[in-house]
Amino acid sequence: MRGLSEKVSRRDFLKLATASVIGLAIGLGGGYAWGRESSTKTATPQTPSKTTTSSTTSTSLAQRKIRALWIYVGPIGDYGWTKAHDDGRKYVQNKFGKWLVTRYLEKVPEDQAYSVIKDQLETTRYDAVFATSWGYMNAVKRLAEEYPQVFFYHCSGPWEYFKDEKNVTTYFAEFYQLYFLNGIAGGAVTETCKVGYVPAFLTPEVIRHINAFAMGSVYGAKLMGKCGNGEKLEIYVTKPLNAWFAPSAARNAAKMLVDNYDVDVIAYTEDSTSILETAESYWDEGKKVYSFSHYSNMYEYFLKKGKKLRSHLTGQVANWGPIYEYLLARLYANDAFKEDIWARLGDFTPIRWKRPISESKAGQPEGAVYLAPLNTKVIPSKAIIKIKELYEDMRELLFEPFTGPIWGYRIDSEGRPQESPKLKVPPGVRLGRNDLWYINWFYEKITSLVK
Amino acid sequence: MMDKQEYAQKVQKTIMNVKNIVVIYPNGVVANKGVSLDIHKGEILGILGENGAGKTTLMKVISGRLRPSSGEIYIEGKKVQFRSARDALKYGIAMVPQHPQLFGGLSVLEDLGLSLKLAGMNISRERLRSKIEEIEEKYGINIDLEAKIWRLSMGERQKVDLVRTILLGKKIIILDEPTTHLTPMESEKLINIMKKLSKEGRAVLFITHKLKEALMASDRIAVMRKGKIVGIVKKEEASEELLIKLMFGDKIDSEISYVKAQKRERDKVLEVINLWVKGPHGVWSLKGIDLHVFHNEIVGIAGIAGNGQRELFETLLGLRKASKGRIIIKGVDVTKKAPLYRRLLGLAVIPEERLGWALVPGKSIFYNIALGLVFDDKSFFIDWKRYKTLARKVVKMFDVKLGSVDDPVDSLSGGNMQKVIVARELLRSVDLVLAMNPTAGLDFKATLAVRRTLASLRSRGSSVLLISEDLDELTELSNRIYVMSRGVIKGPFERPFNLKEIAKAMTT
Amino acid sequence: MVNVMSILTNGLSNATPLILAALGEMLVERSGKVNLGVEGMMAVGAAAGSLAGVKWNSLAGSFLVGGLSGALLSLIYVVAVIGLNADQIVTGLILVFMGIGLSELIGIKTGGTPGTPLFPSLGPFDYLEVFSIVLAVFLWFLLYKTWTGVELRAIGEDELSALERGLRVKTLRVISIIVGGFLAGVAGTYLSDSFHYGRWYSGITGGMGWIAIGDVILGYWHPFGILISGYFTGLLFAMKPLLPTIGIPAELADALPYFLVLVALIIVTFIYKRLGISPPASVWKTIR
Repeated sequence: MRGLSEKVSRRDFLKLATASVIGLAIGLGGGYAWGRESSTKTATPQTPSKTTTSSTTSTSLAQRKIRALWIYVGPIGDYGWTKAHDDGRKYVQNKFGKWLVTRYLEKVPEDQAYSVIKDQLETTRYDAVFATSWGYMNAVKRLAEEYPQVFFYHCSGPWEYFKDEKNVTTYFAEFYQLYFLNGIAGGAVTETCKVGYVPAFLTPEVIRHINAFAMGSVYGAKLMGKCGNGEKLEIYVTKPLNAWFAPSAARNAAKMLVDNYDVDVIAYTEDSTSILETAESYWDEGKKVYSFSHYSNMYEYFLKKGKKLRSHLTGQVANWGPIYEYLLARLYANDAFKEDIWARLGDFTPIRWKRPISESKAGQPEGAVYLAPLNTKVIPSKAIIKIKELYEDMRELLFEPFTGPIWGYRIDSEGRPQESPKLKVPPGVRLGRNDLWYINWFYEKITSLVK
Repeated sequence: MMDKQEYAQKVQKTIMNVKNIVVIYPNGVVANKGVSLDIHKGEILGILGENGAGKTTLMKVISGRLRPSSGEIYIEGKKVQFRSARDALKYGIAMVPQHPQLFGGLSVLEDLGLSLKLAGMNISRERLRSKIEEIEEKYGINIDLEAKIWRLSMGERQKVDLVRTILLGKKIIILDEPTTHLTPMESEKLINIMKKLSKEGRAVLFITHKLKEALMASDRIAVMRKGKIVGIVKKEEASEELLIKLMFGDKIDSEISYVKAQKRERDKVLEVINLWVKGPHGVWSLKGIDLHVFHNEIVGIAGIAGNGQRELFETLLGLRKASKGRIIIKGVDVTKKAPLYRRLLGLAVIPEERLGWALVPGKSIFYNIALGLVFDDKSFFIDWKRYKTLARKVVKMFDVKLGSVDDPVDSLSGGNMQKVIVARELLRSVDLVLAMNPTAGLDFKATLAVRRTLASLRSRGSSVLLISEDLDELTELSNRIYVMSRGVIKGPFERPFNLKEIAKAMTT
Repeated sequence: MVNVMSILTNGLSNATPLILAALGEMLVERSGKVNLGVEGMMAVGAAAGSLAGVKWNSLAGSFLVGGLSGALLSLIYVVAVIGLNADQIVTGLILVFMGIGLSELIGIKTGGTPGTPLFPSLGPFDYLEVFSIVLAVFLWFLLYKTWTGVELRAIGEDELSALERGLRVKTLRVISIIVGGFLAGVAGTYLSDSFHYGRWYSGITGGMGWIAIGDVILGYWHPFGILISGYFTGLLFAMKPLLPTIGIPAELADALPYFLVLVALIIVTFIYKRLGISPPASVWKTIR
């Protein structure tokens, strides 16, 4: 799903980068050094950057070495999707430095992925290939058939697509539980009883996040006994930005929610800090607007830059490291098998059991997906306790947000209602994996701003 | 020999003299072939001549816009060299160009102020305004100083240029065909202004090809022909006959009889009835043209360039829309028909611009020949071979000097290019040839060849409408001659031609 | 539910980079050239400005470097088009791609770090918003009240006449192009410093440069006209997320600002034609 839109911009970028190198050569006499630098760093994805392993002393042991290759669609400096994966690579590199050699190729256009990866496989031995964009699907499928000795890992792809490939594993980090918890925090703090959501696309992934957030915020308002026990809470979803990365449009959408709809809690799916910062900028004008971390701990990130965010409530964070750790460890142990990983709370943690609230790690790093720091100054302690409680329950799947009865209405790709609300999840029923994977309806309390 | 006193007087009187000015343009055209001229204080010096006689070139040299290939310029006895119009301005020499070159987006005041600033005068808007108003009052010129230039008519723009030259041209004022855009009333007014200016002691150079104006305004008239001054006539000695003789040379007296007796049929190949056409600037270029061409005849259209010939040519070809009137070719009303339709009726065209209009530069010779025939080709695929052989045959027939028919057409000389065009046009069955200045720029032999081809066409039964600035050519070839002047047709003049009459018709 | 005030102020902040870049391009076109490289110069300005902001933690330094980088890129245009008579359209397009490429090269170094402090606000306006309006007034004064401005306009009207009269065609043109580049660079820096809280990102300009070129035409090559046209397009961008809520089809909403610019261009061009107004005459001509 992700990568679908990145496709165009990234590929264009490569052309532009090449053009710039040519342009530099023509235009700037003194630009040679620059151009050369760019050619090694950006314009030739075919040369993988090698990360040297830290230990060289144990070579005499002649241990088995695993060689793994990461394929990135963006630059590792994007502070978003690709960097998160690269952090995961570094995580396993540090952990398994003794027997693991990792390499990566950045900015690999999706339509060239096949030939670029094949090139690598022809010249060097690799045991594992991690393809981190949805758009690499076709390439991975073809290569998996051609190189049965190599294990392929495809991020975000549907496992059905690779049904027949024994050496392809799909993996993904799932956020809907965290969005529900975000919703509780949002519903608990809203003063206007209006919350909003800015989606990048209305893909099933984002739709279940929106629904989870909406249901969570109603839960939160009800918990605090405000907004008519959650009945009067208004939830607005803007028109999708139609880009995973669109800081400018995201900013304008967030501003519209605040300025025109009096929203004071904004959740979002967009790969930049734009909305969080927009929320923060309202504090300078004396307006309390809240938002969340997305994919990384943005609160800490800004803290390092010397800025203490007032608008940060909590948020959803992914750490690909444990997933890679698990997959590579299996491979090293000659125990790799085809699987479909959908990492949720509690996955890839040392202990899966729920803990007492006082020991809850909600708001601290653990596993593959976890909650960003909770803003205890703003969120009422009652809500904090509830969040921690549910967090722990979710680890054991004792609590599941998508449990009936849930009413909802089907929407189209822009979020327009296609029907009047219907009972989507019967009482007592939990949505299954495929129900969530292909979800196409909005929770009934959501107001779509697309008419 | 001049005695000393006379010489001293002359020097005092002379503001400027130019000696042996030769101007060769980069394309090899020699526009001035050793021109010498004295310009006196307080006189109106008319410069008379046909188009292409070199008048404008000479004026560009005098006003610093053009650096001569050789020759000297003296101002009050001192030798000077102009690198640009700015240099000439410093000596008080300013010119009103034939076509005003103003900056459309500026206001009149801004345009004038800019020139003053360039001449080194730093002047505030307010002072400039009062200064201009002073001039306006003194010479009776009316312009709205705040008006944007693009809103002004050509005549008004010329007034702006006139005011500028009055502001800047302290010694010499040059007016290049200033009456082109003026009505007769306005022209008369302009001449009065010129007289006023000369009385102030400035020399006024007045370029024209109109005899009457030259006679009316000038103290002396210098007549130019083919890049040379062929005579300087004082006002008292000047007469129309003398000036015509000087302008057109000896050909006035010589009648050429190189035309076979022609059979005249009563059916008309071309008939133009009351044709009204607007020119590029939205003014009437053709004002009710009536003419006709019979079978087996060459009809000439004489006139000084810019009197509507081009518009007539384009309208007959179908490139320009007629506002009123009808064009009938072989009895078919083609007024609203496309050029292709007219061509299929048997119209052949020899335009003035060889490259671009008639030939595609950069393409091979046979390609260009084939191009003229494609609309007769009904087959779907192009039979290049056929065209190539055809081209070879034609080229041989017309004696075109070339390496191969595969060479690019622009590698040919002008004469050979014209031969290719004529040959191509005549490959088709042709009833009417529309030719505009077909021999312009050709050498003697090529000229003769083209003229012979046209004459032989007539003997084959076709007709030719020949628009030409070359009177020789017209009198040599034509059965009848019309004269175009200011968009109006005069004539026809019948054989034997009375050249005096024709020249008069052209210049009035 | 429309908060008019917020749309109006948001419109101005969206308009500011457009106005800055368009004013620069107006100077270039007034001098008789068209530099289509605005998008590229903005991109470089965004990256270089952001990098300088990160390095020095200075807003002024950020804008200065951003502007200078745009000016530096425009020098290539000067050398190619004015110096070597290269085709101005092609050169402009090359500048776009070069600029975007360079932007990536420089921008990666900032890595999207927020560098400069959040843009200080002056009540409802920020410094650059005020600056863009002041600049428009200044340029109006320059173009219409000084002889140098008149000379610049004359050059753009008719290059050959200007040369014949001895105007400083090359000098003024080169200055205009460099100033145009500087302003485009500043506009780009504004994108990262204000729009994106001091952060550069890949593809930051997102067509803003092209819209700015449109705004030049829309504003009839006049500083105040550009103020209006820039504000109009800024308003469209600010209103974009609001459009689907007032019943405009969502599929159309994304394209609507661009579409409306096109419609406005057609209407305005039609009006100009009707009134007989024409652009600086030598714009789009390739006489050299």
